[in-house]
Amino acid sequence: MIFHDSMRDAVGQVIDKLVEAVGAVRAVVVSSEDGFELVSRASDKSHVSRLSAMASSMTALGAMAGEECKIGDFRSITLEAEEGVILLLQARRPDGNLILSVIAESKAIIGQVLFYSKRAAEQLQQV
Amino acid sequence: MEYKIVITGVTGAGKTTAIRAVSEIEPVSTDVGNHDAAVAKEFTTVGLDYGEITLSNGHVLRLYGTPGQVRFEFMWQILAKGALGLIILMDNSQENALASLDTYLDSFSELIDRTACVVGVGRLESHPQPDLDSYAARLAQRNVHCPVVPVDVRRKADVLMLFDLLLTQLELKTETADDFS
Repeated sequence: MIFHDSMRDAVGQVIDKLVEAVGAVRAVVVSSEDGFELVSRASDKSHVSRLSAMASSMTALGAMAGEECKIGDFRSITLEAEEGVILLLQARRPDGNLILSVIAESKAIIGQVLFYSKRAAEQLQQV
Repeated sequence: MEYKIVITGVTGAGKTTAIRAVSEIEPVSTDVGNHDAAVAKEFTTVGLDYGEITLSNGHVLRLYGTPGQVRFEFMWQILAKGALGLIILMDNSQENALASLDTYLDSFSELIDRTACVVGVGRLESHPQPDLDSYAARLAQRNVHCPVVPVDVRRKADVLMLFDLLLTQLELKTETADDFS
């Protein structure tokens, strides 16, 4: 997949809206399914490339676990930790799937983060 | 007895292919579309490969293949935990093969020190340099004692030979350790 500037801009707009809609978001990263960062919004950028690779591995493993258990195609992973939440969602595209990673602080309302993140993932399928 | 064996090495060396060549179960594979222009292949492993094989002596090898790219180094550390041996697959058609070897020797140094290691070099016939002696010299220079052999990972017999060598190495290491205990 070649990441054209116009696509980066469109993806940037989607995640800006997500950050705006959900409070207490620490980082949002959109990456290719093999772990390359496409666009990110993060207070600390130093983790973004590693996070992209990790999101790629976790999503691929999640998809395999779902397949193993015969529960259908992968949609998302929610990771809860002491001080925050990580959501990983897949946006299916004919030119290569994208992964949306959302890192929110524990004070964020998970249901709300999930709702807006899913909507953003759907939009990423269209841009 | 079950052994956890890790198969690592450069992207495109054939880690997924090697596991597929020998596994008795349908291998678990986490291949996705490759978007790295520096690597000429359609799919790449981003999580792990998993396969199993029962040896003639009844021992079961649980095979874990790693992603090749350095950006997935965190998976290397995860997969190395509890492993009893390491196979490093190299692709001689890629540039700077010996420098690439160093990357894996560095990252897996703890596993190599603790257990045993075998290096399999692919595409030697079409790309004879660096030759096996150069690999052996590099390993000796790094004070890593392990066999280096040519391998075609599409051939089951070749992959099985790597496991034989690895288990022999493990036995030798255990015996040596016993001698000093």
